[in-house]
Amino acid sequence: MFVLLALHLLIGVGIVASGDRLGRRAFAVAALAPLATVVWAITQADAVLDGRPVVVEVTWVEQLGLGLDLRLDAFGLAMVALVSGIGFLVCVYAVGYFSHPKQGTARLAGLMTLFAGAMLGVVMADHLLALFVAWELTSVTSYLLIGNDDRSPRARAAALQAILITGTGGLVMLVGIIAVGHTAGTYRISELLADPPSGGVISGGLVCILIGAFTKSAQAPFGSWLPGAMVAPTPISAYLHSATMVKAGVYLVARLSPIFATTGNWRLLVLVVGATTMIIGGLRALRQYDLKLLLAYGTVSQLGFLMLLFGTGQYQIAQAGVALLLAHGAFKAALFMVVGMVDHEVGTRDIRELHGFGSAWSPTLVVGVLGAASMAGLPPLFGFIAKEKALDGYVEHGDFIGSGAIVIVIVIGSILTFAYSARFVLGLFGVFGTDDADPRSRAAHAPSVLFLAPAAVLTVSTVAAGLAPVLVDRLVRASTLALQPGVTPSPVELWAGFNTALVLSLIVISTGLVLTAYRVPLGRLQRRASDAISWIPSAEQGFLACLRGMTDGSKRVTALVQNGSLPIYLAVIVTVAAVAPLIPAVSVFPSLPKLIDAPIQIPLGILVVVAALGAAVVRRRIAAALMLGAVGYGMAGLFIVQGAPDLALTQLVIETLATVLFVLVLRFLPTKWADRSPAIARPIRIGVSTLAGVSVFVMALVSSAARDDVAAPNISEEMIARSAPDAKGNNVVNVILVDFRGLDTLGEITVLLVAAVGAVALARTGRRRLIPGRREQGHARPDQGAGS
Amino acid sequence: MPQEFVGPSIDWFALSPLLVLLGGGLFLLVAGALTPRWPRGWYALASASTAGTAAVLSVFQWSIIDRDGPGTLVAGALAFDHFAQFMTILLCSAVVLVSLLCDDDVRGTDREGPEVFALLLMAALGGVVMASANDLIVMFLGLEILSLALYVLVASDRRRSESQEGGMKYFVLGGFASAFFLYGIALLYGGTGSTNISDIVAGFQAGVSTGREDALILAGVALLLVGLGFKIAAVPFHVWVPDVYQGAPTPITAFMASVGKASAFAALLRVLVVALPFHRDDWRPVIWVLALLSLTLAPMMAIVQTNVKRMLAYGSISHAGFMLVAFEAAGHRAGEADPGTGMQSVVVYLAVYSALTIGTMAVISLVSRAQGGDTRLTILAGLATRHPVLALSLTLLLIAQAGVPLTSGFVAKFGAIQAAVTEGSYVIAIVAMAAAVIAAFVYLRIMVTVWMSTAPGADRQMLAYVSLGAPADDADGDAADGDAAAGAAATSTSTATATSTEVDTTGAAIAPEAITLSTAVVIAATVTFTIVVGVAPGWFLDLAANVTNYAR
Amino acid sequence: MSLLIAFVASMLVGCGTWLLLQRRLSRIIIGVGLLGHGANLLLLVSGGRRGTAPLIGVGDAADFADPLPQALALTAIVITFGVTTFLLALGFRAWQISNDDVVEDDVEDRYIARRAQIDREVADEIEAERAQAAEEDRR
Repeated sequence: MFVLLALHLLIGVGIVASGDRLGRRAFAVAALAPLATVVWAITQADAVLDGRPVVVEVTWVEQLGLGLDLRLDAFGLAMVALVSGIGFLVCVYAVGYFSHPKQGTARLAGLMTLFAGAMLGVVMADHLLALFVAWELTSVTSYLLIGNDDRSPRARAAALQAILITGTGGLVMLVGIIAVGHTAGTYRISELLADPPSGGVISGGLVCILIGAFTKSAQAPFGSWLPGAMVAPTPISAYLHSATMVKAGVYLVARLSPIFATTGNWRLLVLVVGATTMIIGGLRALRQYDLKLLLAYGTVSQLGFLMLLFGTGQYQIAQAGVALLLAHGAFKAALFMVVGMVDHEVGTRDIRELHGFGSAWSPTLVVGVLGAASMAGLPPLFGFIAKEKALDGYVEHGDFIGSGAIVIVIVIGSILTFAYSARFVLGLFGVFGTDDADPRSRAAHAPSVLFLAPAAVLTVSTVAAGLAPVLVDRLVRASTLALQPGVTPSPVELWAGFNTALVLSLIVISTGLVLTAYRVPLGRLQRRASDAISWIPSAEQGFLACLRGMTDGSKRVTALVQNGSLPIYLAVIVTVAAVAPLIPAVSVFPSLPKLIDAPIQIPLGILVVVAALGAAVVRRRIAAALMLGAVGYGMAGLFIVQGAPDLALTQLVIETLATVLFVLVLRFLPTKWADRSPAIARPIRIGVSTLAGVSVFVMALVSSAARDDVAAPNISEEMIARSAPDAKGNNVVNVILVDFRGLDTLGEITVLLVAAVGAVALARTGRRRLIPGRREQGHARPDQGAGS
Repeated sequence: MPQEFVGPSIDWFALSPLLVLLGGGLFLLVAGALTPRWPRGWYALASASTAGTAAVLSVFQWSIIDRDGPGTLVAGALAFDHFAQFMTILLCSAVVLVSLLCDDDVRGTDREGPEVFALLLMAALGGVVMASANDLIVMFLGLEILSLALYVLVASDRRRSESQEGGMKYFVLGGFASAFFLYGIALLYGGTGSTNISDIVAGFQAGVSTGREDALILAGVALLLVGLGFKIAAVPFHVWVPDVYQGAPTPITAFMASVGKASAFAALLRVLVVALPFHRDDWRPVIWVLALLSLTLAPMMAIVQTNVKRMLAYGSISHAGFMLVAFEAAGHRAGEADPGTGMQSVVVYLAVYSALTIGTMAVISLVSRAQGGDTRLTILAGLATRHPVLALSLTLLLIAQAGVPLTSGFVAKFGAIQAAVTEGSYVIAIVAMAAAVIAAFVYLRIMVTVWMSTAPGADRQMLAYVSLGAPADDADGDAADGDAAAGAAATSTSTATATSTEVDTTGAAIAPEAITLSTAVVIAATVTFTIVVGVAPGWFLDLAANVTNYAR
Repeated sequence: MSLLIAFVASMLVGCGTWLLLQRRLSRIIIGVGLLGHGANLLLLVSGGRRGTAPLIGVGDAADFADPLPQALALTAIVITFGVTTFLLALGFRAWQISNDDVVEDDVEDRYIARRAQIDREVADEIEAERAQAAEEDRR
C-alpha cells in the first residue's frame, strides 16, 4: 500500500515540477497512479471481501505515538473503488476536457494525483492521526486545485474560503482526535471498535471530530464553500467536490458511528445536521440556473442524506449508506462530466442559454438522463436500489427517538431530489432557454468518443448495478460487515417485495412529478419565501463577517502593540521591569539601614547625584559627556570607601578612556541638541524614570538585607580562604578574576574583542567616505585590553 | 613559595568545540587583517569549515558523554552534557549554512572581508557558551558575546540606512535586556549565595530558604525572564523583531532567527529548568502567559504585513510561542526523574525551525538580491514561472513552517502540543492549535504569491481580499501624510516604494535569479532536512530525547 | 550598605532611564552609561558588607569586603565600556549616514493600521458585487 501512496506522490510531484511541458498529456501520466491502484485493489478484492483486510503496520514516530497503520477492509475497498476508479475515469475525461491547455493545466494533473494519494491515505488509514494527516493534505491539495487559475480572483477567493473552513474544521478535529485517542489510550480505529471508550472527555472530543467531518462534507452551516469551489475546472469538481473529498466527512462518520453512535450527542448531532443539510441543499438546488451549481447543491443535499444513513450506528441503515455512497459516486461524477462537456462545447452552463442539441449529442444526453434518473431514484437504476434500502432501513429498523421524523425528512428530501433531477434534465433539453436569438447549443459540436467514454462507463455501471444488484451485493454486504463486525447484512435486491419503502418511493416519484409540472408557480413561491427570510444572515455572510472581523482585529492589535517608537517600547519595558521585581519584594521590605557608612560618602554621593542630574538635563553634548565622566570618578571614590580599590582603579582608567572617546566622537556632532517631537509626554517620562529609581531603591535595600540573612557559608568566604594557598595571590579580587573565575575573564576579553571588531567595522566606512586619513576611531582600540 | 603551583585540571578535549570556534574566529580576524584580500569564497569556506569541525568534535563529545555520563568543566563553569552538545551541533550547523549564504550576500559589497565571518563564529561561540553555561556569570558573558556580534552583524550593511536603524534599535533594546539579565543574576546571587547552577540546586536541596531570599529569587527570576524574553522574542518583548529582521541583511536575519533564538532558549532552559526546578510553580505561569500572548498576537500581526521578511519576523514570534508551549510542559516536570517530552519538544522545535528559517531566508535572499534588495511580498510573484524548483523548495519550507503533515514543521508543532496535552495544559494546547491555523494562513499567503503569475495589473481588490492586506501598491499616497515623526522616516519607506513601483510596472520582465552553488547547497540541505525529519522523525526524536539528561 | 548608597543608585538609574527615553542616540548613550554605573553600585552593595579591601595579609580576613561582587562589578564595568564604545561608533555612523543621530520610529506597522480602512472598503465592495450577482440569479 505504501508503494501505491509513494507512486501517487512521485507522479504528482514529477508532473508539478515539469511545469507546463507536458500539457494535457499530463493527465494521461496522472491516470497511471489510479489505474495501478485499481489493478492492485482487484487483486486483493477477493480476500478483502471475505473479511480478511490487508494490514500494513508501520511505526512512524514512536515517541509521539504516531503510527502509519494502513488497513484496507471491504469498506475501504468501496472507497478505493470511488477514489481510484473515478479518479482514473476523470483523468481520461480531463484529456478531452483540456483540449486547449492553458498555463498551469499540467499542474492540475499533478495536484490531482497528489490529492488522489492523500485521499487514499484517508480511506486506508487505521490510525486516527495518520487519517488526520491525509485529511489535511486533501484540504491543501483541494485549495491548490480550486485556486489553480491564479488570475481569477473568484477562484482565489473560493479556494481561500474552502481551505479556511475545511482547514479550521480539520484542526478542531485534531483536538477531538487527541482528546479521544488520549483518553482511550489508542488511536487505532480497529482497536476503538473492539473496545469502545466513553466518558465526558470522549463526548467533547466527538463533537470536535464531528465538526471536522461536517466542514469537510459541506454540512450546514459549514457548507458555503462547496458551491464556491465550483469555479474549479469541471473534472476537478467532478472528482473532488462530488465523488471523493467531500465524502471524507461521511467516511469518518461511517467509521466512527458503530463505536460512538450512542455516546454523548453523536447521533442527535449527526441526524439534525444531516437532515437540515439534506433539505436546504435540495431547496437551493431547485433555484439554480447554472447546471454545475445545481449539481453542487444536489451534492450537498445527498451528503446530508449520507450523514443520516451513516450516523445512526445501525448496520441495516448503514448498509443503505454504502449502497448510496457507490451509487452517488457513479451518477454524480457522470452528471458532472456531462455538464463539463456542455460547458466545453457550448461555452455556457446556464440552462437559460441552452436550447436543445443536435442529434450527434444523443449519446451524451442519454448519459445525462440516465444519471439524473438514478439521482432521482427511478427504477431500475442503482440510485433507486440505494434509496429503497435507505427507506426500508429506517422504517423497519429505526428504533431510536426521532427515526420517524427522519423518515419524513428523507421522503421530503427525495422529493426535492427528484424535482431538481427533473430540472436538470429539462434544462439539458432546453426547456428553460429564454434567449432564442442565439441558439448556440443546437449548433454545438458533439463531444468526441474519448471525451464521452468515461461518463458512459459510469452510466453503464449505474444501469448494470441497478439491473443486476448481485454485482454490488457482495461489496455492500462486506462493507457493512467491515464497519460493524458480527452482523448479518441483508442482500441487495432490485425487487424487495411490496413493502412500506416501495410505497414511500411511489409517493416520492408522484409528488416529484407534480412538483415538476407546477415548477413555475412553485418557483415563484419559493423565491418569495426566501426573500421573506433573507434577513437571516447566511453562512456565506457569516464567513465574510468573520474574515472582516479578523482583518480589523489584526490591524487594531498591530496598531496597538507595534507602535514602532523606541522610546515608547523602552518606557513600557522599563515599567514592566521595574514593577515585576517590586511585587515579591515589597512584602519583605526590611527595616531601614543606617544613613551612611562613612562621612566621606556624603560629598561623594552628592557629587555623583548632582553630576547625574546634570548629565540628564544639560543641552550641550560635550557637557553631558563630561558630567558622565564626573559620575564615573565619583563612583570610583565610592568604591574605595566600600572597600574595593581594584574596582576604583579600573573605574578610573575606563572612565578616562570613555570620556576621551566621547569627546572624540561628539566633536563631529553639533554641540547642542534640540529635542524634536518627543515620543512620550514629559510627565510620563518623569513618571517612568521615577518608578525605575524607586524600584532600584527598594531592591537595593531588600537585597542587601537578604544578604545579611544568608547563614550558610558562602562562596566568597571559601574564595578568601583558598586565595593564598591555592592560587598564590593575596589580592582576592585579582585572584578571583584570573584564577577562580578565569573563564569569565576570558569571556570578558572576547566581549571586548567583538565590540572592538564591531566598532572598527562601523567606523571604517567613515574613514573611507568622509575624512580620509583621519584615525580618530582607531586610537582607543589597543588600549582596551589594558582596561580589563 | 613553599608549595608547587597546581593548575586546575582542564579537559581540553571536552572544550575543543569552543576552542575551535574561538580560534577560528581569531584566525580569520588576524589572518584576514594581515593578508591581502583572499580569493572569493575563501573566507566563507574558512568559517564554514571551522564551524563544521566544531560540530564534528561535538559529535565525539556526545559519544564520550554516552559512555561517561554528564559532568562539568572548568571548575563547574561549563556543563558537559548532551544538551550542550546538541545545541553546539545545532548552532555550528547554522553557522555553516549561514556562512555559505553570507558569501553570496557580501560579494561585491563593502562588507566583503573576514569580519562578517569572524563575527558569525564569535556569535556561535557566545551561543555555545550560553547553552553550556553552568554558571550564571558565564552565561551572561556568552549572552554578551552573542549579542554584540549580532548587533554588529545586523548593522553590517553599511550602505543601507534600514540596516543601521535596525542595528541601533536592536542594540539599545538588547543592551537593556542584558542589563536586566545582569541585575537578575545579582538578585539571584543575593538570594542563593551563588552564581553556580550546581551550587544553587544543591543549596535548595539542602535547606529551607527564608522569605526574604525567596523574594529576591523571584525578583531575580522576573528580571532574567525579561532579559531572556527579549532574546527569544516572545510577546511582549518582541518589539524589536520586525524592525530588526527587516533591516538586517537577509542571511543575518536567518542567523538571528536560528542561532539567536536557539541560544536564548538554551539559556532559559539552564536557568529555569536546571537551576530553579524548585520554583517551577512560580515561573511556569509566566511562561504560560508569554506563550499565550506570542501565540495569539504574533500571527495576527503577521497577517497584515506586506513585507515578506516582516511577515516571517512575526512568524518567528509565533514559533517562539510554540516553543514556549513545549517549555511550559517541561516546566511541569522540572527537576523530576521523568522529564516528560516537553524539553525534547523544545529542542526539536529549535532545530527544525532553524533549518526552516535558514532555508526560507536563503530563497528570499536570492530573490531579493535579484530585485535590488527589495523585500516586499510582491517580489515573490511569478517565482514559480521563473524557477519552478526554487518555488517548490520555498513552498515546501513554508508549508513546513505552517505545520503541514509529513514535514518537519508538523513533527515539531505536534510534539509541542502533545507535550502540553500530556501535562494537562489543555487551554494552551487548544490556543496553540488555533494559532497554528492563523499562522498557516500567513504562510499560505506567501505561497499564493509565489505561485501567482506576474500579473502587473492583478485585480487589486481581490488581492486585498485574498491576502487580507491591501497590496503594497497603494502605499505611495499614504506615506506623505504621516505624522511629524513618521515624516522623517518616510524617507526609507518611500525609497522602498519607489523601487517597488518600478518592479511592479516592469512586471514579467524581471530577470531570473541567478542561483549560486553555495545558496543551492543551503536550500538543498534545509529542504532535505525538512523532508527527512518530516517523513521519518523517529531517529531525530530519539536523539533529542537524550538532552534531558543534564549535568547538575 | 547605607541608605545613601541606595539613594545614589536609584538616582543614577532614574536619570539614566530619563535619558534613555529620548530620541537622540547621544543622550541614549549617556543614559546607558548612567544605568551602568547604577547597576555596578547595586552589584557591589548586594554583597552587603562594606569592609577593608580584600588583600590577604593586609588586615583581618573577617573584616574583608565581599570580594565576589567586586569581581563581578569589575567585569560589568569593562563590558559596559565595550558596549559604550560600540554605541559611540554606531552614533558616529548614524551621523555620517543621516547627518543626525535621532532614532526614528518604525512607521511600517502604524502605516498598516491606517490602511485598515481601505481593506474594509474592499470587503464591502466584494460583498456588494456578490449581492448583485445573487440578484441577477434571481431574475
